[in-house]
Amino acid sequence: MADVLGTFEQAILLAIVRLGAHAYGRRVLNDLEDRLDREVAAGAVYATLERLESKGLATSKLIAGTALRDGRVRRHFVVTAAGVRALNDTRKMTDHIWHGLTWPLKGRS
Amino acid sequence: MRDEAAVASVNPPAWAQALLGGVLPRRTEQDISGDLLEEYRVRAATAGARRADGWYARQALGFLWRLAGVFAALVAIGVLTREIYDVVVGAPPDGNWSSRSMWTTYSAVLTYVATGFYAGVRTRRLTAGVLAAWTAHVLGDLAGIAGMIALYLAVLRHDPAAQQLFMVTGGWEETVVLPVVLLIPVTFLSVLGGMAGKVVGRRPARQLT
Repeated sequence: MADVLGTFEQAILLAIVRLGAHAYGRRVLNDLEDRLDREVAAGAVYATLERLESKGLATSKLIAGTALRDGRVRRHFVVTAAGVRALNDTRKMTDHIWHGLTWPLKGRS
Repeated sequence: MRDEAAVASVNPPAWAQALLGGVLPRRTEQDISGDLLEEYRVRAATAGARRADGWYARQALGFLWRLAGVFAALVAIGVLTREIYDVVVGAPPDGNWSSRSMWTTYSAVLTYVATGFYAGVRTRRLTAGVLAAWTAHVLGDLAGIAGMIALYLAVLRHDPAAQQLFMVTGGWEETVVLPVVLLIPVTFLSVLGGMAGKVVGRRPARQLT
């Protein structure tokens, strides 16, 4: 089984999958903020993207920029086969550890 | 679509752009700064320039904090430990402070070199190391000053002997003035660490497709 991903790594990889051909840093940041419903630090997103790339779970290529970004390049991300495997393994592990419990759990006070 | 409302002529605060340019990794500088500029312009068009300025400044400071935060904590721990140790243990029996001073000095040297090194590895920029070391130094020393004020109010002002010891070991002048003077060696040490970090952090650049 591949390494189990952290929540933030999972969220970023899933954002890349969801965004498809539009998966570059800013869109990933927007997607995370929409889903987590809070402001997300760009530094945390880019550090995680770099880590995912270095682990071989995502790969990137540079595309020419637009006028809105003063022509600066865009780095587009794609989830690798290892990344897809890691996502599936993580989901499987999460389902496994929740097995037999009803969500949401009832709190005891 | 919110992107369509964005205007390419509005720009983030110059200081925040300069800060970002100093701390972003060389490899990803263009794409990250482009992303942030694009998002800034979209936010300026939809939420107003002031809110967009605030957002951009927070992101720029966030990148700096990621390089400096741990080291700022180390500096603060070092300064506070020394202050508390001096007050709790008191003066050395032989009156010779050199071993304590050496411990403080060498741990500070190591911290600032490590700050530059870490930033050099992460970004391959000497400016990132210097900015991170300054941040760690200033925040760490502010914690030290706050700690000293707390110690003074809690212990020193009620104890003439401890107050005398505090004055003999430098007093407020050392607490407040010394950190300013130390900015010069801090810069030098972070550059040294940054040069080593740049060598270690070397990676092949990716090609534009």
